[in-house]
Amino acid sequence: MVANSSHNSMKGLQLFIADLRGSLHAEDREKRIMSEMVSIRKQFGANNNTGNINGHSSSTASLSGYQRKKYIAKLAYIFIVTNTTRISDVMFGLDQCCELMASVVYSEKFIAYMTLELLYNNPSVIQQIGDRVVQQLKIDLASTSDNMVSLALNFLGVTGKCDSNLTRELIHEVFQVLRSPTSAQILKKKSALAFLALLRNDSSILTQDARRKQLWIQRIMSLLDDTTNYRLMISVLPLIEYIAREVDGQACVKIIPQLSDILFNCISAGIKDDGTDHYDDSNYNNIPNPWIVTKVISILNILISSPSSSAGEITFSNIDQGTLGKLRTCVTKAIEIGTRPAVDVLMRTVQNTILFSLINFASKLDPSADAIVSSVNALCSLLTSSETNTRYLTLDCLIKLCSVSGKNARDEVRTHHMDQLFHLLLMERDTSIVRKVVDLLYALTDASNVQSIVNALLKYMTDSKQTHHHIRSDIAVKVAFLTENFATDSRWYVGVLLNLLSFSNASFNSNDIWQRLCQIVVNNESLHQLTCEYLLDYLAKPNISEAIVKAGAFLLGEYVELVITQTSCGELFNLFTEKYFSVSNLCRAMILTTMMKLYKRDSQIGSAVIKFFQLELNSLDVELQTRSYEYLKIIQLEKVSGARLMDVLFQPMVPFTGKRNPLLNRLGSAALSTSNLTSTLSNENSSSTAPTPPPTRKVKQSSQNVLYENQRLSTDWKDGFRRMLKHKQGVFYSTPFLKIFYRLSVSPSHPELLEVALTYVNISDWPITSLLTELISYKTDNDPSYIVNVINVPTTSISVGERATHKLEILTRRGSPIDQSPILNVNFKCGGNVSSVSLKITAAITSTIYSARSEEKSGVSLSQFVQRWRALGDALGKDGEFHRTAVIVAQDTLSHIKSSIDKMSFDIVEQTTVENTIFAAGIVHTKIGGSSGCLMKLRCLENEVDLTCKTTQGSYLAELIIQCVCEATI
Amino acid sequence: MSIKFVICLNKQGVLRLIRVFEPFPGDAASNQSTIAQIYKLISSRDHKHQSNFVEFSDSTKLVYRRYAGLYFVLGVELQDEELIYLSHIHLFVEVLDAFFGNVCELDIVFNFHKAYMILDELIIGGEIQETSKDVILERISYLDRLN
Repeated sequence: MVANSSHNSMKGLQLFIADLRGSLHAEDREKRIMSEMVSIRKQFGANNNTGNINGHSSSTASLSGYQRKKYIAKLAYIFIVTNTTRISDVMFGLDQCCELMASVVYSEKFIAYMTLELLYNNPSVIQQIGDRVVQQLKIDLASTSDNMVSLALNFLGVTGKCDSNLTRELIHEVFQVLRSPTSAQILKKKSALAFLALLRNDSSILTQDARRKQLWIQRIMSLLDDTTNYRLMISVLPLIEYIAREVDGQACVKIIPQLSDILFNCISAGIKDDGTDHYDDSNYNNIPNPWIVTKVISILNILISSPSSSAGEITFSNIDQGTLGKLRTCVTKAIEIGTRPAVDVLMRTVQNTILFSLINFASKLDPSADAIVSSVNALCSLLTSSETNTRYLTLDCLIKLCSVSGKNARDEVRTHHMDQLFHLLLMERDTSIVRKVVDLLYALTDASNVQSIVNALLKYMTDSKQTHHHIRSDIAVKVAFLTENFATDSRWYVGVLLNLLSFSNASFNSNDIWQRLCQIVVNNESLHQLTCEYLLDYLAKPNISEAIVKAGAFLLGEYVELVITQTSCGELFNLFTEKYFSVSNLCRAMILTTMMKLYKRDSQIGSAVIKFFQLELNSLDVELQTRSYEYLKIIQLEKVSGARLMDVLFQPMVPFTGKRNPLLNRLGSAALSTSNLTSTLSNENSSSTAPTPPPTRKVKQSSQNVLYENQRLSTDWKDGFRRMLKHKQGVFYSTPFLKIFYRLSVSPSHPELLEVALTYVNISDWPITSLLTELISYKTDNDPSYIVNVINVPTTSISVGERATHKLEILTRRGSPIDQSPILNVNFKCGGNVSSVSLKITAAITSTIYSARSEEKSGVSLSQFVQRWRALGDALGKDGEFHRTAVIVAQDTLSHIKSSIDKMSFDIVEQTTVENTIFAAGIVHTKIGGSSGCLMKLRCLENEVDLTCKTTQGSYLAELIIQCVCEATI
Repeated sequence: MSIKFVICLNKQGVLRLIRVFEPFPGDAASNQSTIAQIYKLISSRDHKHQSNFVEFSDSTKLVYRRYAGLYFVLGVELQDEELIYLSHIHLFVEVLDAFFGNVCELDIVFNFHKAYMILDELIIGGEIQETSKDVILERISYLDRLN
């Protein structure tokens, strides 16, 4: 296809551009631009004068739409070709640009919008014409022509972040386009992204109005209903991603199953290998559409936290088995795709995109050791790629994997892939990749491999010529840190550090390193002698680095005693004098102090020392001058008074107490998070500093409870709730569109585990779509009393008359008040209506009563009951019992209550001895407390019942049981 | 994750296209120096031996690719996954190529407004809007014929 050049071309514009290209010199171009501006200004100026005084020129303006378009386009070109420097020079055209925006001719309107899109991030532009632009946008958004609406939406998508006024004035209009079922697909796509841009600008429109937030978010999610419309999806996913991250992550949790379906279908569709070329939207040259895959993964990454994260966040364990299985399959398939041979570089890129994004996500799914190993191996096979990008990203991905998936991943690399990494380190020419290799090696280091890793890093520093200053510096700090942390041999530690310092020269900042070495040597007496001997060897060499001189000056001065048998003070003095003139002033100052220490040890060198200090009195450096003067004075004073002043002033160094390693400050800048470095220091097992895993939505610990409290239950929720207390199955809730049935079951072996099967039946005349469910527990962290586990979620759409099932399990860990039962939220769309239902599912302690009747055991006799009642009373007294009187409105109180508690699975004592009284027994089960017997005496009066309950586990449990009974019988 | 800006520069550092979704830090005057810095950073890199990704500031990294004499540069957030953006760039170039027929810098110079039209069908709000080359081509040829 060749651009249609005849139709929309603007000859004047083309000439102007050709002229500018033709001018060889910058001055000529400048002149040409200036003369064009003058001419445009003249055209616009004349026009403005004939138009209205307020600048809104009338329709009788002399300038035609075509001319106006041409001049505005020229201004836009000037703005671009001058690298955006001439913004103030084109400001005069803004009024005419607004005029052009109001044109009904598409190509004219387009040029106006395009130009404003270029200029609109400039506050002075917004100030001058912002109001007019908003007015015109309103008109265009309401236009019957899709092309005009599209231009307006496009403008908002581009400039949405520039002016908060746009959000306030126009977000409702944009939302109307987005939600309307009659909008064309292109408008839905543009409006989704325009809405996103406006929301990024100011999301208070949603956050400040809970009801609108719920409604709008539900509408937006329903756009994903058609899980095969990948084209619409591509624009809607970013919007959902933003909502999940910035507005309301909790509201998005319920679409995890749907997103997983999309991902699964997309990846499965992408790897069909039936030999045919099929290009649908899920698919990009026989590879899953990478844009869909990365976006869905990104949202899932926001919604799902790492397995190790604090309770209260959504982790893999909150996801139903079906969904989890699909996600894990996706990871396997991505590895398959990623390791397939690629046709060309581009396909390789796409394959890798999918591979990396799924492997990065896989750690959230609690992967098995095998899965981690195969991820590591898939990645390592890419390290030999000839493509720089691939190597770079593979390393990036490996680093994340090693830090997030922990030991399994690190061990696999340590055992099988170290040589590959060392090889890469020496051969790699891209410094950004070298940095990644260094980061990875750093994360992999432990006591067993520290020597080989440090040696490889040192070899890199000595061999490699072309490395940047900062990477050498980074490696030096890492070597120092690793050596200190993992060395098992102190001689080796000192050797490595001195070796490192010896080639520091100016290539990296070594201050922290030699200082740290000195601290450690001072604090470890066993190292004193050894280090001093090493230092003497180094100092004997010519052109030794200043860091060595500094360490030597300090340590030899301090521990001169230990080397004096090999090297006399005089020799040491000569050694330092020789170094003195080749080092910096800071180092010289240190040497002056060392000389004093040598003099203190051996006053025979006094005359040489005094001579040296006298010479330095003339130093240009004030510090050196002062120091020499002071030291001379001290020597003089001692000689005159005979007092041993030096013994007081130069006492032996005391051990350093600061626990914090100064190197940590610099490691922080090495792209690794420092947050857990302090713990790394104390805990040898966690050898890596974890780079931050993909960011997850932040949920405050306390927020769960607030979330539970904030749910607004549907009216009449209590009917189904009470029914669940008494009956094992029945109607849970019904709306004009949807009827929900339930069935409860417990297994004899685990009565504390209640299985709830919900069936959703579409009783309307239209299909139900966007059916999304969510369960909110009273609390999920801090030792919750029950845990809700979703087994499978219902399908998102139900055709007329059809049904969908939803299964969950409630594990009762211990008794809790019945009003803290989990809340079920169901949202759906039906016949254009958006509905939501919020109900409590009964998690009652009495649900765990497993009736003995079903095992055909004989019931409890009255005498047995009385005997146990007494026994409990004797053992626990008042602590084991709870009493309550409740008002009952029923025709026959006794039979009403009798049938109710019978349905609740209590055993009722068959007796006629005591009138109007029911004796009942049962065993409740909890995960933590085990089984616990309970006995109940219910004395029925007219419209009143007197309940007493005793349990083997005390009165609190008795109170909970009575709560359930009252709730069921009222 | 989203695109902060799209920039197209020629080998001499002259701006050919610019689309800013998230205003550059600083005032309008510093825009120009930001562009100059981007050019300096990218043109100094070795295109055979270095990756197509480079950190630009403490909040932005660049994903770029050179096609003949033109650099196409996307500014994205630091935590974004880089590779997918290379596919963005390539898709854009493919569409330009199909629309103009073997596109060269001059096509973009003389028809910059059409280049923007194409970009608008590909990326708005800092996000990709359409990934099918055929759908985009059909759409822009329709828009191009509108008067």
